[in-house]
Amino acid sequence: MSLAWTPSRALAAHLIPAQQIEQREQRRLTTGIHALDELLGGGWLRGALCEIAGPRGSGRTSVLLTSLATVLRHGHCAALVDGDGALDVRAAARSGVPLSRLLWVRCAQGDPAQALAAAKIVLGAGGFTLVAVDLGDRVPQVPAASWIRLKRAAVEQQAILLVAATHRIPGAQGASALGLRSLQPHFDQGKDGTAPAVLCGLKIRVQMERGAHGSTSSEILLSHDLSR
Amino acid sequence: MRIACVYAPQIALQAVLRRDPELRENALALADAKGERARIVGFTRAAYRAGVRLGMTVCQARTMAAGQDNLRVLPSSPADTAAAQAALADVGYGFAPRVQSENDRVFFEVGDLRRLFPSEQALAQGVTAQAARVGLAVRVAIAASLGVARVASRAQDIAIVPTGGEAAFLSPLPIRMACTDEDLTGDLETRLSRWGIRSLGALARLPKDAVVLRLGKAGARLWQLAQGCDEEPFFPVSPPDAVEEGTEIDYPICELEPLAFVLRSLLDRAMTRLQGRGLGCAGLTLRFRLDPSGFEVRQVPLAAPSKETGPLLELVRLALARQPPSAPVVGVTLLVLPARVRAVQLDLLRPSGPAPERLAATLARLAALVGIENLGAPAETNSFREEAVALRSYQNSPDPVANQPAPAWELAFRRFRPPQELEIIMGRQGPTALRGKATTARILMAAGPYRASGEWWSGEGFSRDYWDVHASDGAVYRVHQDQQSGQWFLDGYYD
Repeated sequence: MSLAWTPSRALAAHLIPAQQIEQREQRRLTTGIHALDELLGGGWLRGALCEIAGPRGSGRTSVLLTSLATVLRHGHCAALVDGDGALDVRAAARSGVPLSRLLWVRCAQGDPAQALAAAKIVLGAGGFTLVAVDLGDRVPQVPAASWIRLKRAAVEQQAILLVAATHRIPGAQGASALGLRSLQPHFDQGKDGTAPAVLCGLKIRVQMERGAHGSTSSEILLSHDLSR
Repeated sequence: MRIACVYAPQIALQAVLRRDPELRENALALADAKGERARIVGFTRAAYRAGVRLGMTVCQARTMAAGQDNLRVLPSSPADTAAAQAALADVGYGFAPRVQSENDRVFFEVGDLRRLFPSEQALAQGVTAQAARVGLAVRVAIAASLGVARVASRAQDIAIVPTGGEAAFLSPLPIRMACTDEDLTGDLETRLSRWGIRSLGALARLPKDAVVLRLGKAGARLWQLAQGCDEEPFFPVSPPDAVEEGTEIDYPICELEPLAFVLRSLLDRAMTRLQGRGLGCAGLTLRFRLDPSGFEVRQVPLAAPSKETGPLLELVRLALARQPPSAPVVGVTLLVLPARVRAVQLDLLRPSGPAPERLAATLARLAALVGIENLGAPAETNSFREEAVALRSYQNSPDPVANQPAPAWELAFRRFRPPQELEIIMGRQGPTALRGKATTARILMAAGPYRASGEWWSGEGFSRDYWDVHASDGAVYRVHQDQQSGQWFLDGYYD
């Protein structure tokens, strides 16, 4: 008796060998936010340049810190190249970042070249799975060659180079890009309205602006709730 | 016990050549002081071929080498000589934990090194190679006693004296090789020569009592050494806390670039010495001798021990650019604090991080780029001030929270450092508009005030009213009013 099973042609087109699934999972690291993982096809792609773009209050720092926390809690090494020195340590701790394991590089404000040079040094060391570059509120003029070099370094080290800025700066060098936009902050004014109001959340919209396999466009709503 | 003796002949001359290796092939003579009347105490082969000999005055040496256009006479440098002696000691420390140092020699016990090297010959070759790396040409002798090893090191480039064969080895050697400086001053060699005793073998054949009667204590010591018996005790010591390299500069240096050139050479030499001992650099101290008088000291801390010279030099450059010497520099001493580069046990269940040595070099490069005060692992401080932050040294160590899920997604906050001054228009319900460097906007919703105060006990107390305001530009800012000055500040925004 033979146990061999031959799938139909229609089904076979959707089947993926188990080995490939394993390899694909190893190449992606979760962002720590389930909805974002679904949007990105499993998480941030290793050996690639990924982007988070959004104006003030759009939640890009929250996504960045959550990604750092998740990567560090999985035992990987991660570094934050802070272009503005804007990291709030208490907020990072609340996001679950193990502070003692995060390499924090504070760069001179308004000097993106220094931030990119620092990122290149960290990538060159090898062993850092996630190198997050926070370019702050400015829109720096960065030569395309810099991004090409950084992307190459990320590919060589199989690291995730995550760039957060107000606009998409690396452009075509980015493997995936998330566009973020704030919708509405939530304030709680209490039942009787006499107590001072409390900020308790922020609703944001995430849009996939560039995907790993060509451009995909979809929207998702995420909300914060500080009262949790 | 087997003892190795590493001998650096003409160490004062070698010290100068170590500083300026390009002089090695030139006709170079070393004088004991400045001026034409100073005595020649060392010379290169080219200078010897030109007729320069020990004990000549500088004037005589120049006359003898009149045909040699390029004879250079330099005064010996105590700083360079001291550095060369320390480098010689470090060669010994590369092979043994404790060594005994003399001016131009270093002794260490061979002991278990025979397990690491196939033969004593191979060990001696290894020592010679290590000495060459730190810029010294040495002779190596291995014998059963200190005195025999000392004499043998003067006889051959590599001398292995078998145990029990000391007398046979020493027998053909001239008496002069076994004489100390005191013996030579006391004419011991001359008196023996008058008797027709020119080799240690001939001395060994004389009756001991007769030698002691005529030559006293020095003669007895020499006779015993000629027999191959030596009772000189071996007093090894542990390495010093810091590696020191120094040099005197021929002319005062005022600018940073030439000074960095001198420092690079010192740093290269110091790091080569440390690498010979398998160590890295944990911190640097620079001591400048200024013209016309005085000293200045600069400390250069490191984020982690490193073995790479390039990033260290960059750190030194930055430190000097921030705070240059206040007067021209005529001498530099570099103190390097040695430390083991941290070894990390790899974890089977954890992704491997950066290799410790590469991490140390990376941290040094980053510190050179952004400054050591801007690099490290962030840490919360025990303070009531929201903006308080501390930086600790970064180490890739396992964390107890690893493999635990992160807490639920939290709203993050971006901080302006320092807080920006702000103008606020207040209404009955709170702030209604804000204007500052970062933004100008109407306020749609304000939550607060939340009062925070503290540190009144330290004399730097603060009292602030905080507001979270939703501005018309879409962001939610956190602002505060200082209760003492009434000034408003923008702390940052929720992001």
